[in-house]
Amino acid sequence: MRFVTLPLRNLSHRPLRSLLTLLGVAVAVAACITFTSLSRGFEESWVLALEERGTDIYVTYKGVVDILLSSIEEELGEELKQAPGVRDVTGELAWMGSLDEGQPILVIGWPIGSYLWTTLSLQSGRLPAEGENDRVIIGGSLSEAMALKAGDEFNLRGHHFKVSGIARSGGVVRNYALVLPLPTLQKIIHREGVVTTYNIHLEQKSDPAAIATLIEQLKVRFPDLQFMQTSSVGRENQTMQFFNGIAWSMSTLAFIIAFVVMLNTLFMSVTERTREIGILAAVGWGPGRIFALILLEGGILATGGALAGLLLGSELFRLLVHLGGISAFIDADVEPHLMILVAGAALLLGLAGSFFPALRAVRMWPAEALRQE
Amino acid sequence: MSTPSAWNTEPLLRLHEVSRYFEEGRVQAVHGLDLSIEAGEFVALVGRSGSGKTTLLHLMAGIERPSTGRIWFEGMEPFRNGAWAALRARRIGLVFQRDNLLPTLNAQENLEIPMIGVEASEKRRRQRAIELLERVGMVHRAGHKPKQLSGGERQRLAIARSLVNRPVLVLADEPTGNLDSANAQAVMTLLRSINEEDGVTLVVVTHDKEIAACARRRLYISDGRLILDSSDLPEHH
Repeated sequence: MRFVTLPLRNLSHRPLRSLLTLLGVAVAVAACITFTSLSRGFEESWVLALEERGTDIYVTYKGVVDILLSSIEEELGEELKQAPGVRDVTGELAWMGSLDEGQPILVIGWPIGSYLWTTLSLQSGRLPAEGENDRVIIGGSLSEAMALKAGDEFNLRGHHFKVSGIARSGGVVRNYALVLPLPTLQKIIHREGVVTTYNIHLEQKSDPAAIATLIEQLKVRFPDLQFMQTSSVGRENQTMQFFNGIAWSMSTLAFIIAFVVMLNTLFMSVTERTREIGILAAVGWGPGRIFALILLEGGILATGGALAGLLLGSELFRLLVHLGGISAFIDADVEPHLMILVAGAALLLGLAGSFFPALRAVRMWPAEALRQE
Repeated sequence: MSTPSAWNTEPLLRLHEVSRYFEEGRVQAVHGLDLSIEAGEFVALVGRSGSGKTTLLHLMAGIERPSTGRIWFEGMEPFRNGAWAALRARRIGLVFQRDNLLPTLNAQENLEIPMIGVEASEKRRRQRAIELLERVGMVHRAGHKPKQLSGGERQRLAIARSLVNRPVLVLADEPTGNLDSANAQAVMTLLRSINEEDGVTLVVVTHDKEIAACARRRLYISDGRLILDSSDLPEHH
């Protein structure tokens, strides 16, 4: 027999308790995977969508938690264009709507002639021309979901539209988005004269320090607006901070519960097996080996729990994305580095949860342990 | 551990003014005891129940910490739990009145447990366990868990376990205490063979006069004190 045989036997000797502890760790890991993937998924999809359109500085109304509720006067665009180093500025109106079938979609309005239209990669059709206010570009995934191709017609909120082109993107958001001329969207959602955000396109992108200086200048000039570098949108935006905060709180809570479950299980196990630990010490097992035995038991439970949790979390996340109708905004695949990070945290939790019971086991002299019944 | 200068002349085990109290000194199990045991001896610790002989045996094995006094093994004085564990792993074997086998492991695995960390080769651990199972006539029971064995078999297995790492000293606490006369006889025969054939020093705690009579030296314990050492008697010499 090997050293590892003994902890495996001890765990299999009390299968229900071991299984419940393993389940506790698995639930914590699954919760962490699910919540974190949701918040990070939203953030990454959004940042990717901004990067694809070449936006360097993203502008919203200051203090707005829900970015879709941000309202900035359309005329401010001309003033923003005057800032040094700015190549172009485009206002954008975004609206979260749903198709008649209930499929949620992101509807975006851009002014005809904006540089943003040129960032779309068309797989068929063409961009709307000046005056073609009823023409739209739809994302590749959305066109498949709606069974539409260039030239087809459809209705949205009582308005008639014609598909001008189909765009294919690397990001989920754009693949499920519908883009139409800004005045048309302003009209159908009754928000004439306003945009939700501004996209600033700079002359020079390579100097982060210069961008930061420009942002500081813009903040002074426009105190009611929030300016964010595209790469830091996730960190600076309040919506994302809110989602991330919830995700981390829930994950931390789940891990604390799992830690307590692990601690309880191993303390019970050590207490019940005090006599057995005394026997091991009596036959020559030193404190180090006994310590390692308890730690290994915790490690085995945590590893099993982590593996089960990764599987459970990935499937749960996939299910939530599809059943929750958010597949238009988030990629349903869990990032491998997140899985490694969470599995590592679970293993640390297992070792931490077994540390104190192990310490208790080795502090006793063998005769003292053997006197226990 | 501290090493005395002339440790070649040291006895195998030496206790100097060793005492052990329990319950904050209200119960004194062993009183200022001085004792030496030489290599190759067969010693019986004799006394009534509660006389302190089991505590004395535990002190000799280093599984109990003395309240006062000093203990040397092969001339070295182990202080810490870990130092005593290292000695039990390689030099001291222990047999309890209750067999104290691990219930989740089978007979062969129970024999392999003390060898983990001592014998690196898994194959040699297995071979040694089978060798000892053969010696105690239990090779056919190698795959059985302790609860599937009889009391006599469990005690023979416990004795085999005490021998796996080829100790120089075996300490046995009432090894026949829970056995019928036939099994008790078999266990004592086994213990004597360990002493006579293998040259292992043997210390047996007993209150049974017949078993005590097997030993060449008898230490009579009462109220935690050594009241008589048969080696001090003229006829012993």
